Amino acid sequence: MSAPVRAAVLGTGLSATVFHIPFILAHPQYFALHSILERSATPDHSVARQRYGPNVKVVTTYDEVLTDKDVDVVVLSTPNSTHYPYAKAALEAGKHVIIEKPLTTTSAEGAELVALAARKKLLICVYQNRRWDSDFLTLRKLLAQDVFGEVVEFETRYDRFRPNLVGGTWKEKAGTGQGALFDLGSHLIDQVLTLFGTPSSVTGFAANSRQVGDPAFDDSFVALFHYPVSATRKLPLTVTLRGAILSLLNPQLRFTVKGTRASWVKYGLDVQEPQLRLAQPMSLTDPRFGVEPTELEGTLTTLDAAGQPASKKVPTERGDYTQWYKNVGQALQAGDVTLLEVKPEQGLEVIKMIEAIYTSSREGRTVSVA
Amino acid sequence: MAPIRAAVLGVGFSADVFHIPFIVAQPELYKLHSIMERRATATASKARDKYGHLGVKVVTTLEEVISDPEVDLVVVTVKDAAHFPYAKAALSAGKHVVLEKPVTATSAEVRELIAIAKAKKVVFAPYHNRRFDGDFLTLRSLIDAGKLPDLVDFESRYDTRADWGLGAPGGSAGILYGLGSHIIDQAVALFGEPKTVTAFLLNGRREGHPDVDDSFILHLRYANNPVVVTLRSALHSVASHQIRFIVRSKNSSFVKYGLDTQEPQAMFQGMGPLDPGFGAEPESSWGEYGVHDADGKDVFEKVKTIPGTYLGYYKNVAGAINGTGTLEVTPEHAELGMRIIEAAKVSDKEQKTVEFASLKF
Repeated sequence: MSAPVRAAVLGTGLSATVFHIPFILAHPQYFALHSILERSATPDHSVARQRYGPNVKVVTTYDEVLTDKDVDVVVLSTPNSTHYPYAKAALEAGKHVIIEKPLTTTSAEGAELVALAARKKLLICVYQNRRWDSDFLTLRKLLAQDVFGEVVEFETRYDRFRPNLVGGTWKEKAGTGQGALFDLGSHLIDQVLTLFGTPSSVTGFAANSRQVGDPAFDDSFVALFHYPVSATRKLPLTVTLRGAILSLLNPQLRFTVKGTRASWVKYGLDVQEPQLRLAQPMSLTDPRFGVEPTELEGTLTTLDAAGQPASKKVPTERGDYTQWYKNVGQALQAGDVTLLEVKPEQGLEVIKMIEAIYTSSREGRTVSVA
Repeated sequence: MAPIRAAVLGVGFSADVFHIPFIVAQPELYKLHSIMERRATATASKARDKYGHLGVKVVTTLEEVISDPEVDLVVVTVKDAAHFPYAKAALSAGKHVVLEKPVTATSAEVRELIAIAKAKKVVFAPYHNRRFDGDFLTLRSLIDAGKLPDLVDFESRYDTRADWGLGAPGGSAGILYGLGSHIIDQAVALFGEPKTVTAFLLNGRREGHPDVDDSFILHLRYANNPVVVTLRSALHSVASHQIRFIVRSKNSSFVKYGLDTQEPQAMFQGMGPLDPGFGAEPESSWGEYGVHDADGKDVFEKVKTIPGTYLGYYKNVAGAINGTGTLEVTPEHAELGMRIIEAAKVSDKEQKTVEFASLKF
């Protein structure tokens, strides 16, 4: 039995507290929560110590993490602009990296990190958790069952209603790696690349549709990924990725998938994040964790024997972010990057697509990415 | 005023479903005077079989129609390639014209028809009947009531699943003309001239001629309006209820599924425009309106669909002909819509967003 991988978590913010630490603690066969970097901790007051007890080491500088030989993996759930420098430092110090999406804010930096990790035989584990969203798992099951025939139209949306800036968050300032495309688009893009691979070309529109805050900050986007006929694709496929910020639909439209034989429409967003963000966060072993209300089941429409459309509800698979952590735990214990489901190169590919979308948006033209 | 004497060119599906019933249902406004049926003979005529009891004159040539002093209005509902030449001939002969969509293949042709109609002082009415679809009327009433202020997103879809053969390329072949003309016209009515056009034309089913589009995506952006308009049509859509509108304003939204009921009611239920319930929709098809109210609460409600009324289209045209009103669907709308189609073709070909005002058609 391999020893648990010892994790140092940077920060005590929302992401670390909700998405990472509980999952590390829930998998003692794979992980041990070794230390937490809490810059403002003092010997008398530490949020981390309060929450996680005396057995977790609390440090106040990143250097202490990097030089600690008992740290195997660094967990980076810090602002986007810190991803590259922090990840680079971790890899150079011989630590594996668990890193929130986006891997970095430029593809050049991303490529550098991927190459560095490969050279040092270290793992970069990009937290593309939404591959384990309930709706996406349901969709993958339908695709595996070949219900659609050829998929010819695919729309994926991450829409919200936020008329005002939230305030007090790094997420709303303009800058490289900021904006809705990096924040939410990265999830949609990763899912699309997982299903269909890299498109041939991309058309993008990034906009500040609320016209509040920094005008250079995109709060919404539309992107079209074009997949023309090829050796592996009989009919052209157009994928539309959308993130609207002033969408007052409840529930929000999430997926529209159209194939030659069937279509599937799904509303609502995976429940795990809201469940984890409850005042009393739901336990990962709670039987309700990841389970969506049946009212949100998607509708599958197929053609009956007479060629008429016939619709039925499809039960939603259970969402399960623990699968990401289990997969990463196994890969880290084995020290084998090929075991990772979310590959470092895929994290890099997402950034390349985001850059293509921005280029397309800026230059008003469809951009080739193949 | 004496009823307007209408001659309908053609006696196919379109004449039967979209024109003749609305003319015949309003005898105070119209008289169905004649029908041009090319293949009619003295002994065999579909027009006579269906409409002879109304005292309709059946002729076989355009010339007979436009030279008949008893004909006031010519309804041009023949195949697409004949739209422009027939409308030109009828307008030149001093007849009012209702012209089926797509009205022509080029905006230059629309401008020519407009000039002739002006010179002859006759009405040129493009048949963009879907301005009178129930869903569009309902959407407009919400906009007019101020319930969708400061639009940010306007998605309009006209999808179906059909094995239609779309013919040879050229002229007004393809879905951008065939179905796009409707939803482009609705966008023209709401938003006017765009600033930029981004378009994708696809032969997605890989059937028929590769240059004839069976699906399109059109993004329109405007100079003095932050709204982004997305228009899409496809023939590959397997659905019981096709999404029709997703419209978002800064604090509200409207989502509508389904297409106007008048066509299926006429085709499959044998209903006529005066039958109760014509153009009406069951509650299951009503759209949903949501608003973020002043207290920060989100309130959602179903919106009863205003019944669609192609009867209203023909009533409006009669008003214009009689001088008691003006056209709802103007030929200038059709001309702008045609330029948008032409701009879409340029954008698709060049794979870029085009500045509408910089294009010359």
